[in-house]
Amino acid sequence: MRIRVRVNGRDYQQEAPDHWTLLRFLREGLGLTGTKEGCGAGECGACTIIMDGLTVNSCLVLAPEADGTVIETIEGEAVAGELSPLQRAFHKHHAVQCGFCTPAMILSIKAFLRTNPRPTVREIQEAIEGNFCRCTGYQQIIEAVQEVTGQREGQEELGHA
Amino acid sequence: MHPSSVMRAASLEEAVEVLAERGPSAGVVAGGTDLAVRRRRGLPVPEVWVDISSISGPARDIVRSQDRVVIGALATFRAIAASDLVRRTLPALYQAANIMGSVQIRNRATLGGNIGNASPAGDSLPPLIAGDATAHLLSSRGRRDIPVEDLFTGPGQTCLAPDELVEAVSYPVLEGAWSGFRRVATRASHDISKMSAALRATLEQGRLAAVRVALGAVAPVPLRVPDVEAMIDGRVFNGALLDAVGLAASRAARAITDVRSTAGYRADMCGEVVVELLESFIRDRRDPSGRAGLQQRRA
Repeated sequence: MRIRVRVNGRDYQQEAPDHWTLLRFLREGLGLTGTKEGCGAGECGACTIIMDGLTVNSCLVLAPEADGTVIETIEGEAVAGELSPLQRAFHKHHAVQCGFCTPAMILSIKAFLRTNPRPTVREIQEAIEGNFCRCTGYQQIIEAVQEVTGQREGQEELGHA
Repeated sequence: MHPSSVMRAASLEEAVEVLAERGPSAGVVAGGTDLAVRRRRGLPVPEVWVDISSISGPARDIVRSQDRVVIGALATFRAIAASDLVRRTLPALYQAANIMGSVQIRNRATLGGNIGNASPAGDSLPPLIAGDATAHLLSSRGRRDIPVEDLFTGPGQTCLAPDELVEAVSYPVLEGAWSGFRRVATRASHDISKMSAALRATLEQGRLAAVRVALGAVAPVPLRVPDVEAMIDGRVFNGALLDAVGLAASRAARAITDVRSTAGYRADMCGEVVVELLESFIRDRRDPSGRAGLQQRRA
């Protein structure tokens, strides 16, 4: 089937087999390999993207189901080589170790902050409940979120030496 | 297994026409949060996927219609978890919708899908059964209604015909009724229940009434437990009642041992959780905002 999508503001039209997932379509069809496949079964969240404003596991969406939708992926985050504030905060707070969960983590947080710009720690934890990180223990990710929401004034950065 | 083709239906009426034409080789897909997982695990899936995920309108709506609340089959868990109407009229379902899956899963998973998937552990099912919900079914032959408690015939099995789908679910609005949902799982979120329970009741002149109790993940189907209900109905709340109810709820379980839990633990938890629900009901009568249950579980 011919799939028409707008990804990060750019329109794409491409043929893809009906049984392809949206994840495979993004990676192999459009060459946007920033979105990762982890478990492939909606558990780990590594394939999270934003589709029509809502985060979804792109491994659970069939490519034909995404026809006509507006999609945001990690490739849309940095503009002209300039990291987004969220990416900069991840960098500063060491919220990236192996980096495999990071693109999806950024997308989940991006969608979440649109509706909740000043979240509590518990709300941040709930917002990333569907994104597994096996490196950081999440604390650095939460710090990074608080950095972009301006909720870390006067707080020391954790020692990461 | 892969679907060989995906057809996008513009309406549920169109979807059931395709189901009737294609026969049992076709099946509907909405959020895909169960079907795509089955596919990934190599389990049998329909050959032709009739995609109903992009249908808009009443099929997604949650509305009050006279003395009932009607939830379209394509209403997502996200929508139910944000519905003030559901929170006020069937808090058990509201609570289940809020803890089911993850943010990403709730954004896609639909109530109709949770019913059609017929997992004994489906988190929306005990609340629907406790809430006396009816499933409104649609096929090319017409419409029929079945109480949700009568819908399930085994794990993953329902009495729906191959060309039939859930169009909507509705439940009566019972004035003064309380309902609550609890589940036992290893993780606080994004987990499959080891067991779950929902209770609905009213308090009339100090006596418990209109009691309905349903258990999840402790039998081949989500289980209504009339023996436990009869024990509570018409009684005054006290410690002796709690003890008896706990024992009866444990005995009602027909649990198995599997990767998530043991039969014995599940049966024990049935007693614990039903007792906890009854206690919460009495406590919430002193905190009528109805929020205590949710906050407590999230805490």
